[in-house]
Amino acid sequence: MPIVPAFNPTTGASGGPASGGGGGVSLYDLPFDTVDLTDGSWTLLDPDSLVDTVSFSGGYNTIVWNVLAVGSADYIWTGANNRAPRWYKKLTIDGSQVISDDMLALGLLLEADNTFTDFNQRVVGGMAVDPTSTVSNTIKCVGSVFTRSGAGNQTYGAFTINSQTTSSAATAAKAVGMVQVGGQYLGSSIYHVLDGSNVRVQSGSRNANSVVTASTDLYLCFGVGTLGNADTVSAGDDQRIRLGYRAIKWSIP
Amino acid sequence: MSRVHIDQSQVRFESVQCQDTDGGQVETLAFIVPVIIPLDQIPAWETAYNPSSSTSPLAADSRVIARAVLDGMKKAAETP
Repeated sequence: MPIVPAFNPTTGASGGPASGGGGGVSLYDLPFDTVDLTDGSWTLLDPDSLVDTVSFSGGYNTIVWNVLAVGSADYIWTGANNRAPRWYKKLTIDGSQVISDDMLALGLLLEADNTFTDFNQRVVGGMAVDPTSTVSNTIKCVGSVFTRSGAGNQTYGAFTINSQTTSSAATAAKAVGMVQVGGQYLGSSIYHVLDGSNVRVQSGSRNANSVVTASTDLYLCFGVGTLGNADTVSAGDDQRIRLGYRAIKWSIP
Repeated sequence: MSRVHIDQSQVRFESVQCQDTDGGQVETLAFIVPVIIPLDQIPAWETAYNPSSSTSPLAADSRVIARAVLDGMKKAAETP
């Protein structure tokens, strides 16, 4: 079967590249856009200065923490309030802002470095309605989540606003997720947990069930945090994770 | 007697972090059992339940939901 370009890479128009132009982007073996939190395109919101440094190498982001002496539900992403560090930017496709009315499919990749076990950690990645807020139901983040208790099994799953459904296994190595939102509504997040050979280990889904105001700009949002309310972090503790995404805005007849 | 159903193929064993009906935080490894309450059964269930009464609903009504949920959980637990 021939591979059909989805849009003109120059103009963004559907139907593939103009005659005589360069190659289009194939939907077969579509790569994720790699998230480099240091590339200058991301804004960090860190209300309590928990991030010491962030660096990027080999496709992975490494986040080094300042001390968190007293754990709190504010840093675990599943509380009513959220003061955890998060990086965000406007969700655009080929320069066009995606808004709440648009039908959006957001593919996500999370792959944690298995050797980083300093603390009980969490990473959330996906879309958000207002990542500048510290109220979970205003942030309205929907995407994928990674958690790990010390050197325990890697756990991945679906994250919706301030709840999550996750699966873990000894062989879990990464997760590929997909979020569908649009029509002024936050829909669902699904996930596959894969092993090191990209064979499915676990899978699942979760619904967000949340209305969004019309014509609201959507954001990409990747955040870090702790696993449990009482979990603390020592200065210099770090976590390392590969993050990827690919956003598609559908044209609805 | 009112009835409920379980979507058996959707019973699953997962870790969940969410908010309970009272707003409390739930964090547990659990069987998640979807309960289907047919629309035409809702008036009967609402009539049968008074949240402010510790003896509501009646044991016979409670047993309908309890048995359905426990059957769903048990079947899922016994499935290899």
